[in-house]
Amino acid sequence: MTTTARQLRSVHRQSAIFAQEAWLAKDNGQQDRSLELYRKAYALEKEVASAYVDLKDMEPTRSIILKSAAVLAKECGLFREAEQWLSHALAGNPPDEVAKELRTLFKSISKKQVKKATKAKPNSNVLTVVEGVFSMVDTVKHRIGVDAPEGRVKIEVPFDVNEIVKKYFDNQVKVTYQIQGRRKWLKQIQKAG
Amino acid sequence: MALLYLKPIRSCFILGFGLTLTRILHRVESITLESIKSVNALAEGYALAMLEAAVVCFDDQGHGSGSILPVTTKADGTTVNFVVDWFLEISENIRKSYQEPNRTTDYGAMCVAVLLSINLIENCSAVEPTIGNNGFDFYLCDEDDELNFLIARLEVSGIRKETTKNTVAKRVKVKKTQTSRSDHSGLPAYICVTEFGAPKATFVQK
Repeated sequence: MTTTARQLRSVHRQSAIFAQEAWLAKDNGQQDRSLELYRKAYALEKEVASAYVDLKDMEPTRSIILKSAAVLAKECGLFREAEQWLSHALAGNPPDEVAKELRTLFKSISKKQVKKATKAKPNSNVLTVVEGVFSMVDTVKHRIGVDAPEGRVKIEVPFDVNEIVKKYFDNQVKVTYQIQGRRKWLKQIQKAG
Repeated sequence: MALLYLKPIRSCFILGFGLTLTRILHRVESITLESIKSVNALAEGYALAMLEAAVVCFDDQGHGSGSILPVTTKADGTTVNFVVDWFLEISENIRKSYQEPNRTTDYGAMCVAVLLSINLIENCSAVEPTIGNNGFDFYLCDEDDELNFLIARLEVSGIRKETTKNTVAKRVKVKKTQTSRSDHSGLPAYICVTEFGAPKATFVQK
């Protein structure tokens, strides 16, 4: 047990040294080198954090080590893993101050997760077709509305909206659009039927 | 006649007591800035950057090796005097590398704070920077406890030269009121603010 504990601390120290070097590299503008060092630091800290998950009596060291693992995972872009370490830390009995920091970190990582998920929407290249009446136009936001049987569909227009208003407004239209994030972008519009 | 003999004895007693009291109230310790390189848990490059910055800060304010750094350690004004030594000579290259004043002062203050922690905090045998943070906070470690070795937090701040608006006392006050950190949280926190102009420092528990 003693040897294991000593080894754990030694691995944690090595990880902390890589992390400091990564921070210095980042400070000097060496982004690639910094990421490489953060990855090395995380690989080691992950090992230590795994051992501390069940050591619930070892506060405050337990929660600080789990938080370090989360921060390093975040620096490596591994947001899901960062969330998991933070959850483990909060599930224990972290000191008030550390708990507060864990929650703040959790919020910032969750935001990044949502952004990442939005960017990587699987249907972003898929084209969708809707048929309905072209009944709404917003010239400021460059947006049109098509009243389809399932409700109004709002579509962004990447060019001058007046051109299509003149041709199709108040008509039954068939619109093809592409979803990107939360927006639908107009690809094609033609009279239906 | 008896009074004549008593007087010098009393004077000697008072003088002796006074000196002892002076020693108690103004303990003199010493730190060598180069010893930052042998502090456990600090990366070589990080420690070297702190050392060089500290020497640049002291030198910039006209202080040489052997300067006295009074460190206030309690709210009642208790002070410990530290003799600060170093061997590093500042080359033109080092001077050029530390032209950015705020960053240099922060790194210099970190060097002083880490060395003071090892001298002033019981059981503190290593100092680890907080991972992923802005680099100005540290955890103090007790190497004798193999599993639960992180014992306290250290918050560091530096001032190159005190002004009426930017004083050590104000910095300490700001740090103390920054967050609602509780003494019962299980993680005590210390604040170390170093001013290189006088020079002087305050090292107190939050």
